[in-house]
Amino acid sequence: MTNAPQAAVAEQQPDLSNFSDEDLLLRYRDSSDAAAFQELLHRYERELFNYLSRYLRDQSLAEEVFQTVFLRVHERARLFEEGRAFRPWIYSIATHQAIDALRKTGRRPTTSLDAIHGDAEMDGTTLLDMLEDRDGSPAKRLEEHERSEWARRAVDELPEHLRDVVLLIYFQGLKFREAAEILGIPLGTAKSRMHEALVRLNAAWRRNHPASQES
Amino acid sequence: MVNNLLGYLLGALEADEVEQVSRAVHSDPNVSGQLELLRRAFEPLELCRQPIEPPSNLGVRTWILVQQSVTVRT
Repeated sequence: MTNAPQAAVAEQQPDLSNFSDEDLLLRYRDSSDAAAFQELLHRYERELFNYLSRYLRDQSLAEEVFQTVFLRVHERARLFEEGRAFRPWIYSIATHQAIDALRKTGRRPTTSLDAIHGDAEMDGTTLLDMLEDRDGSPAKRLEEHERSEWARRAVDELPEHLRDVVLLIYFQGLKFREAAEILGIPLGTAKSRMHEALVRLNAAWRRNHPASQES
Repeated sequence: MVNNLLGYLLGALEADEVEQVSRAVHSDPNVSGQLELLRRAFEPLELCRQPIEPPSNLGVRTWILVQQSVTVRT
């Protein structure tokens, strides 16, 4: 007999792991279901923290901004419209909060790769030629730590407009369309920025690791 | 085409674009050659792909913060 109320509760609370992100937020919006919000937190904890850590280059600031992002999700849930996709929506909030945090701390990203690119590197043929010329993996001749440290710095030093696209599309796995929506740029621009970022990274690798060109 | 080939490798295209690129890759050896070559463009990025571990209980602490903000307002 004493199990009856528990059974009723269990019946009322569906298995939220099967819900889409959008349905979870709508459930939170309409019924303030804490479990729905917590499920969203659980789903995005690792993913969004990774994004913010890379974007901000500072894990403690990323932690702070992560919390602010979910406060905004809570505050803006009532503005979330049916038919809208949750993922680009939360990334848009996260990106704006990260920009605000950088502004408040007075930090500006460095742009040394920006200064060293040439216009000739910007067309598709050049990227293909560059890759064709490369002998084997660029990674083979360096220690693992050196390789990842170089790559991390190279991404950090991309111009901000290219780095934003790389973080969203390569590291976070978003579609071109979603990244374009988050950054407020045309779809074609998102595509060409990804391409340009790869040209610069590969060109920078060639310049900085000429040994990888030897056979 | 190169941009869409990059998007194809990244999984960043829409379903209709994926279909277009797939058709081109399967029907044109030049395109499939370019696709194979472009895989190497991501090598510098793959070097720094290690995931970053979030601090423990970040989600729980965030939920507490949200609840506190609700309490403050009510």
